[in-house]
Amino acid sequence: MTETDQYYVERCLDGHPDDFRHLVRRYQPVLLAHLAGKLANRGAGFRNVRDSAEEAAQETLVRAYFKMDKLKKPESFFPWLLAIADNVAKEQQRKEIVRRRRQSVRECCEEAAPPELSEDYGLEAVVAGLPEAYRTVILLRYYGGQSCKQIAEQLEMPLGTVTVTLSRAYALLRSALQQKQGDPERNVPRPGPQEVNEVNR
Amino acid sequence: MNCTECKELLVVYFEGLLEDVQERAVEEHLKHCEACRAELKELQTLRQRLVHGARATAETDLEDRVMNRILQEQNERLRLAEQAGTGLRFRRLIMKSPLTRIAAAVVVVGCAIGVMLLAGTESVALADVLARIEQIHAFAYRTSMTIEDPRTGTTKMDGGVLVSNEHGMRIDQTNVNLHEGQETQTRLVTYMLPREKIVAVVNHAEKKYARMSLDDAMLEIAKTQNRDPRQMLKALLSCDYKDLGTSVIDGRRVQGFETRDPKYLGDTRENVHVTLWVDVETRLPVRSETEMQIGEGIQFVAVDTDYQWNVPVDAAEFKPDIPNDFTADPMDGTQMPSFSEEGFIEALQMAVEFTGRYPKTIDNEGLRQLSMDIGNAITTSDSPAAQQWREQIKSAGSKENALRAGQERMMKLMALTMFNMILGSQQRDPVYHGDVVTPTDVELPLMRWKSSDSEYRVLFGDLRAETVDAETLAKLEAALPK
Repeated sequence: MTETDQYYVERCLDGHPDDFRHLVRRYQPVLLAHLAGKLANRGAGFRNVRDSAEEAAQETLVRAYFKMDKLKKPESFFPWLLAIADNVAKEQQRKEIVRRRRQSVRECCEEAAPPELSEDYGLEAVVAGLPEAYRTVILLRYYGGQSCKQIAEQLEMPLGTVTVTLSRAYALLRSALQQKQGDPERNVPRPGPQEVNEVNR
Repeated sequence: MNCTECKELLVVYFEGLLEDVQERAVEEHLKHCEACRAELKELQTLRQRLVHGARATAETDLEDRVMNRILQEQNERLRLAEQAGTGLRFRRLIMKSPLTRIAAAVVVVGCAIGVMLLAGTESVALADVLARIEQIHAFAYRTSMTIEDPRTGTTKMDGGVLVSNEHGMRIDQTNVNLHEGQETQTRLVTYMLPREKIVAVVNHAEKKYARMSLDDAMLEIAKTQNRDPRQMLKALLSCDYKDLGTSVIDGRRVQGFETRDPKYLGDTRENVHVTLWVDVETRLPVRSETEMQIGEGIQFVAVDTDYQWNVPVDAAEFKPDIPNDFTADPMDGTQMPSFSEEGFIEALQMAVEFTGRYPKTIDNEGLRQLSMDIGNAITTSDSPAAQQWREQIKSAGSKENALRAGQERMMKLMALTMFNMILGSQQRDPVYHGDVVTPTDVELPLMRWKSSDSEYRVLFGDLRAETVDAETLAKLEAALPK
């Protein structure tokens, strides 16, 4: 379980599909948190965020497996996986919107009930709303159970950048959570350009 | 160390990543600063929440589910790859019957004709030609067709066609199919008999025959099939066409007309190129060329020549001539599928039963894909429909019976393209949304067409049909995804 993503990706491509198991094990909590956050966000109004997120995570992993030959840089497996997850989440949301629209047509003049933000995944929703660099570090650190050192290696950035990003991510998370308490509809504020620059070095 | 410096290091501090000197400095500052202690506490609470959230999501076990799905799908893909063969074999089996071949020819040819009813025209010349032919009660011509299909090889058909206003149509043809180095020759005589409402096919290569009944919708198609020059002219007149000027064919001065207008095929998507040469003196067609592409990679070329007008006709020529030693094909006595709304719905129903979804398109390529999918489903799927079909094959008693039942059902699928094509040719504005509508979309329009000047017939995702006005239709279609 200590091998790199690249190693497992190449093993899979070499015809050892069972090694994909290691990547599933490594990223399933991260994916689930990310997808739960995505689906709980934006007033998607999913009845059951957990089930929808699990379904989406499954779909994401299966798709990733079958598209693996299209992954140009095997070391970028994780960002690539998240991009697939984002697509899956978008598709699910679209389906949900169609479903609800149908329902609201059926319920005729009745106003569609305002979507409820999932209380269970409030934190994940805020994480999912963070700019990519911060989101990635938080996801990998806590949901992926990786140390800052491991993250630095995986993302090929200096340890200092990881810790700075993590600190900043905490700050953004806090202010977003505070804002959410006041106004649940509001999104996480985007950082200024200098902050993004800082992360990119 | 001041508070700003300290606060910036707090996260790194509890991550345990500070160097000894810094760590001691932070600890020293914290001892004396309540505000920073509060800040640390808050950050740690947040961290606790993250850890807690992570624990909750870590409880999941997708591993086995994902791996099972991957294995399943992998096997399925392998099987499909291996079975691209089986699917094709199955398709070939279907295509083997002379009847289905004729039915397939009906699809192809009907498509070429695209049945258009003439509605006014500015062209004097072509309309004039049409008027001339319409006075003719019987005519004959020679036809030669080539169909190149990467999947079934090259098929050349040569034959003579005799058309009588009174009796119907008779086609004598020899088909030669060349596929993977194997040549198969078939001699067929086909009779389309509108009064009896049947189509009869006599296969001289296999010494078999079959007579199948047609409903009115099918008869309409049958009448217009095989590039009847009258229908070609009507179609040409309703399209954008070009006058090619004069030329000489067989010593006769002719004038050419050409169209590449997709309307010629009732706006089905195939590319089309049609040229018609008309004798300048007699104002009657001398030669026609029809070229088109069907779906992916099927090339169809037909050339008709040697038109003879007002030929004497003997009723006996339209009586199916079946030698005594010929036997009935399993298809004998069956009903050709209905290309009506009901037939169309039935075909869609069948698609769902076997594949769980609607075909993305209902052109020839969509139909081809669907028959392959159903062919695969019959052998591999656990759906009740597939199981039932397998049971039927088992209990059919004989191969022949099984084949016959199978063919009859598969032919019903043709209603998908045919119904759409008939609507298109009648300019009834058919639009199909199978690419986005699923069987569970009970409020979304799967297919619609004009039922009168102001009303549309709409088929919903659950295959229920309703007649609505244009405004309602617009609302329904606005709800479609994308």
